[in-house]
Amino acid sequence: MLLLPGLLLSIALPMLAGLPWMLAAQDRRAPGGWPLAIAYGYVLGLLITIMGMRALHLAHLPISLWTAAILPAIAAAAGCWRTRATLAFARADARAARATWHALPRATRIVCVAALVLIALRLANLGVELVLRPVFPWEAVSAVAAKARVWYELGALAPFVPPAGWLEGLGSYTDTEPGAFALPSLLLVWTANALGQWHEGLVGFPWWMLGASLALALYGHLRRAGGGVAYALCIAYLFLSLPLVDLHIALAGAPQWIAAAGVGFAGCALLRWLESPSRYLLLCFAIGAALAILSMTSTWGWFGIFAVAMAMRYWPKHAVKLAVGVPLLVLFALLGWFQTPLKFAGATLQLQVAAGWGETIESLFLLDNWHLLYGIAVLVALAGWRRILSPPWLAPHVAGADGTGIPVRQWRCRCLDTGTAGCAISATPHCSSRRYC
Amino acid sequence: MSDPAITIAPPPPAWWRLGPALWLASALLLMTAYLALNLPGSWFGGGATQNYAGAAMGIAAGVGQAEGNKLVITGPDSKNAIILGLLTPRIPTIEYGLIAIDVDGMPDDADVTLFWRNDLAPNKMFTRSLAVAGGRVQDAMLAGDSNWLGRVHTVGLIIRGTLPQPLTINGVALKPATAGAVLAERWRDWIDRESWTGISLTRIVGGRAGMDLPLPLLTGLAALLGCGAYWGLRRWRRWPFSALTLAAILMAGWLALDMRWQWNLLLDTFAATGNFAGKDLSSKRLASIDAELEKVAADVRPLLAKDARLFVIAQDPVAAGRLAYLLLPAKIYYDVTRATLPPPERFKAGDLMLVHRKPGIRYSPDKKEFLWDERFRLQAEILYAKRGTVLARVL
Repeated sequence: MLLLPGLLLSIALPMLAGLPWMLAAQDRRAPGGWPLAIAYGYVLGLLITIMGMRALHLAHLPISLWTAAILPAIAAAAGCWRTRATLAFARADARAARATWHALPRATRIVCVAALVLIALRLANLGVELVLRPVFPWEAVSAVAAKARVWYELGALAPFVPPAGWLEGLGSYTDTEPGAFALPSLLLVWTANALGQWHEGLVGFPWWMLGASLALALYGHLRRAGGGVAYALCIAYLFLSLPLVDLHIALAGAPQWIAAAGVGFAGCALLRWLESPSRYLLLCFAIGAALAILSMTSTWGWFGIFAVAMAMRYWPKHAVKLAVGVPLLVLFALLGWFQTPLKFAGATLQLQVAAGWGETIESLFLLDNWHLLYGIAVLVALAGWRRILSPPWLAPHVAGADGTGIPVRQWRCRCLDTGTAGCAISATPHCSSRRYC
Repeated sequence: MSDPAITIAPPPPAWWRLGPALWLASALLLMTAYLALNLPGSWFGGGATQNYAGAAMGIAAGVGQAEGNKLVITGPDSKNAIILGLLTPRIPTIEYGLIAIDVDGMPDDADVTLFWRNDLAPNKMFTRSLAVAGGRVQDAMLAGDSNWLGRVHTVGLIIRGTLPQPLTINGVALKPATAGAVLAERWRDWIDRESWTGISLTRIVGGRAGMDLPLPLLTGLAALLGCGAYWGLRRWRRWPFSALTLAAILMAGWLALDMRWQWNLLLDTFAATGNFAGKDLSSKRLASIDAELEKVAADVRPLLAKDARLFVIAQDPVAAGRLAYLLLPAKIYYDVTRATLPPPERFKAGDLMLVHRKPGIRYSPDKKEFLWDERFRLQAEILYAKRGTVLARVL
């Protein structure tokens, strides 16, 4: 199969499977509707596609382009039937968008064009890098892409077992993350099936698509929140300009980006929901949460933080207690774990102090990982701490600030059985997988 | 009739002018402060930069040879030391004060010392420790050092530690310790191309590793100073508060960083285009960091029976993991937590074992037998032996 049609198919089918449902679920009259529907629709379509592949596996049916396309095709057909008037809406919305553009002052339009040029340049740059480069990150080579390559070649989700299990004959394949979630690998399998070949790095195109979609989602949410076109575009550019975001897109294959994108989709929707709750935003949150939770266990902590923020929204009288009490409770629990090792899935795990503040400060402020993001965050926190701690702002800030993960960066999990240490929540029963993380 | 006692304050400059101007002024002020703190002598004057090729250096200890203009060191001497010296014409220290040694492949844990000799104490060697980061050594600012006196005629490096990979000395430059030279060095630090490494997904340096003045620090401090200056100006001139001006100050710093980053991304993409465009997967891998492993994999692939189990062992478990990936979808065993072969009872007749650069495993062609850990024996026949790699079938 030719590469370009295959690539377009790998994008279009999930998009068609998710977009109509997101359009049907939202209030079209509010600005930012289409960007939100496209961004979350694509993710929803990916989840439907992955679900279809898992269903094929459970039914012991071979996984190929034609079989994997059945469920998204059905979802697309049903969705299009459900929103068959969409084209007429789209024409009206395009006319409204043109009118909005012409109504903008000249200076605002210049800012918009500049931001769009920078976004386009960045996405094109990352796209070329991704397409040309063979799979590179260790996380991909040692787990995500390894599984995907085998599953694509076999047309089946052959089990991966730990090395000891392989020696026992429990399975024919092993890697460094045998217990990891299959979703990131299945994204590669789906794209390879659509391409008709294992093409490194086109198989990693979902990583790029999720980056573009997350920027689109940011834009949509900000427009919905009342932000202007220029403001929303500038924030979308700032997000795409973050070096660590760029590298995870360009060097596709590591599961962290899929998980982080899921947290991003869910987090944006949650922050909007805290401001003005709606079922549509809860749906957006659920889509992002599903992507994150099904990609990496290390994202689960984020959803604990999000739950605290939601509780603060529901019980505003107890907001301050929750904002202070829950982090303190978590801190005490961590200190307890620091003292006493815990048995977890057959392994004895203990918490220990990680590299220390020096490395964190270097990573946030001296290296170019995040440009000036954390510097600005500190500045805003210092300048506006009174406002941040006032009830209407407290819940979103708890969700955002606790979610930066700064407090938990100082801890890491150590496996007492093997002596290996690594990312706390990702430690597997065999304590081998994250040795190099 | 207007009241002459009421004066109308002039309106503040437009935010899109004031914000970037304040950031730029703050950045210039900080650079000036940096120069004042780091330049011990005169800011101007000095001699012309003297460049020497790496190959001009002599090896007093260690193993290596000149390759073109470069000097490639492959190993230390028996005491784990490498000593490199460069004889120069007599250079007046009053005109020079900055030594930049362009090195690739320096281990981060190496102990590196710069030494020099002068004509005031010809039998004495003066030294300065150099920081190592990202395979390179930090430039040495010697102006102001109490031993940087007279005329220098020898400079060199003493390196203590093992070399996991060859070390390349590209060149040595003696520069005047002037404001221009220091600024040029910092500029080179910032625009130095950062290519992707195994830790790129967690760490972007933003220029040359180990640089003296990280650009994110400078731009961040300039943004902070700019915001402070705006706050002061606003109070002094009684301007109304403008969030857009603050945003413009921060955005100016962000854009300065991002333009550098975009430039870096473009350079890397041009490099990727040159290396990978129009190539099939195997050729791409041969042009990537897995080139050496792909050569092995390309040789071995045709020898792998379809359903045979394959054990991949290497001294470096990461190399075993990457080699295993290149051989998929074969049924491969490797264990990233250990670099040893499983005991012989784990093997079955017909299994394949691929041993890549793994010392301590011996083979007897007469007995057709592997021996490892001085106790484990396994009957096997060699199918392939090349590039330090052996593929064998268990009998």
